[in-house]
Amino acid sequence: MDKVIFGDNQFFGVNHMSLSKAVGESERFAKNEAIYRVLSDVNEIGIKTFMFTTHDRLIPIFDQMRKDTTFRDFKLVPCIPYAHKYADAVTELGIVGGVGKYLSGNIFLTGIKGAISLVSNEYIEMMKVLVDSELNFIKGLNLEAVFLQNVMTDLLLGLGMYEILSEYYTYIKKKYDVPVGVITMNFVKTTEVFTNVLHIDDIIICSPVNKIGFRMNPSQKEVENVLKLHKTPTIAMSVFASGAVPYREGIEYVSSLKCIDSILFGASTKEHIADTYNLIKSNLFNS
Amino acid sequence: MVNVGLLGLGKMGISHLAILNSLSNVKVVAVAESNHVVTRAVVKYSGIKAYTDYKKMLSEEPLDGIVICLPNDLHYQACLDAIDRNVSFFVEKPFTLSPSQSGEVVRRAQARGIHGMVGYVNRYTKIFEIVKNIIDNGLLGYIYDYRCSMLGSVVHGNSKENWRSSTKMGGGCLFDYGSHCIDLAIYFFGRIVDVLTSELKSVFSKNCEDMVRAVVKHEGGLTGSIYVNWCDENQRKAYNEVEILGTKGRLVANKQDIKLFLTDPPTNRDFYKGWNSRHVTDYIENVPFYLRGEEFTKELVDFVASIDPSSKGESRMRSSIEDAYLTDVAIDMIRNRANKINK
Repeated sequence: MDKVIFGDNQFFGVNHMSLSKAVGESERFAKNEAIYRVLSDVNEIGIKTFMFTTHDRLIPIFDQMRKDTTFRDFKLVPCIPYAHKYADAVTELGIVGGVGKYLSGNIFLTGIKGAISLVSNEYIEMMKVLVDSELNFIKGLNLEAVFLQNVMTDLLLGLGMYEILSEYYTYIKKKYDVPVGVITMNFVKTTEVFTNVLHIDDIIICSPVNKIGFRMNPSQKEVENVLKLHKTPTIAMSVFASGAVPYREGIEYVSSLKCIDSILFGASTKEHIADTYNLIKSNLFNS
Repeated sequence: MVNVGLLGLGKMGISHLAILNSLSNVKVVAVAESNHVVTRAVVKYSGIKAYTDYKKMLSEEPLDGIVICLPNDLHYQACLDAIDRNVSFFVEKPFTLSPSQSGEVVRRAQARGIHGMVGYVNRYTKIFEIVKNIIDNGLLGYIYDYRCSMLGSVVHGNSKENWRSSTKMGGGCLFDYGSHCIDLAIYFFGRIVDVLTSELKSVFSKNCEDMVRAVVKHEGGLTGSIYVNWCDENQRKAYNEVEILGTKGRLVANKQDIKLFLTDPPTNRDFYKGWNSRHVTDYIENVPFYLRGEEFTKELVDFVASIDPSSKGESRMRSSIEDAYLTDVAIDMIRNRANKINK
């Protein structure tokens, strides 16, 4: 994985610190061209990896990207599934109906295989069908890695459904032949399960790492201790805690840990993206 | 170790199960759920015992407490069944569908010395804890008005009818969103004693309200307004906001931030004259296991601590059934008042 990865939260009005900031960003990116322009800037600046949720809003962006030769070496990291989509369907239709909606909605891909797995309780088959349908999104573009969204990782982790996490890892490796990752808000537990229980050491774990300990569970100290053992490749996210940590301080903190492989960040303007990129490069990955 | 059972594996049930299953002092002994697709997955991959009939689970398993996430119209009976078995319980909101049902549950639980808690998770949201502290410490002076709202996107033009569209089954925006808002108002300002105006409006739904607007009066005489609406498509997640007006300032808060205008700030706290803003990142709190928000873990940690046989029976519940009963009384008053006005 590249050292610096660009994220997508700003495009969808996600800001964990402030709602008014989130609304502002949502307005800024109301038009597809605005998103495309930022990604073009990112590409031009030299950040070559984009990590994103498989949000429908991005479909036209990727359609355009396929025709644009400047994106030829641009790499994509989808985070699946787009949880709100399923959560809304479950609210309306219940769990079986909600999952069924997306299985049948992707009949082209899933067809009978999906329907049968739902009826016969073949959960692993169902998972594979949903993974394929989510990844259909970026067919024909450079798939760099696949990540599991934090709500899904943490749910499976909490439920003790480790076998499904393991099957997800194996399926992506086998079928797509790319690195596999998970996003989590429970870094310590995720590391323990993957390395000690499942004996998978090359899972990439992406989790909040920031100076103020925001979302570093169960505690900043415990996360730091496990990070320093470097049991798996790690990506630091929420480095600036949605704006609560000043840029230089944020990077300096991550740098001081001496064990982070990559940083994921998002920003809305070219100048801001370039400044952050340069700051990360000069501080973190210079040695 | 605290032995817990879980009733109902819908969205909230699964979420609570994942959190409980991760707490080091909890053993999830069994779950009860009638849907086989969900139950079999839990049995197969989580290794947790499952029942299709919760009453059987209650009689066969040694339980210190249960977490009830059944459909709203089954809360009442499930609470009574727990009390009959001397088992403490956490029940998702709304508590029951009427103050008479809730009152009966409270009386019977108190008679048996059983702890009951309702999932009014806003009370565990850090920012609302801070708001409560600001109110209780008099920073806003004499409070004379407030507005408490909750907006979200549950019902749209093309939504299918389900239990959420049936008031009899505990559906409708008043039970779903109104309960959260009213609970928050009671948490901040105490018991609601009267409803001055009330309007229940249907936007898309045929058999229930999609919007509620009410002016309520609290025991100290404070009046304020409650506004909920579940047809707001711009909300990615349900959004709570409270605005409070006092003689020494004004406060606007949601789960993520507080904006506080003070005319006479105290000298011992880090607030200035004029506007002060605080964000959730100013009050870091970590949890043993995180899923969807720190508050969901915090409420279950408190529930478990309250029923832990090794503790001294001290309740740490911030949203007890006694608190939730007050919310059910207010919900009933709001509905009755609206019906009266419509006639």
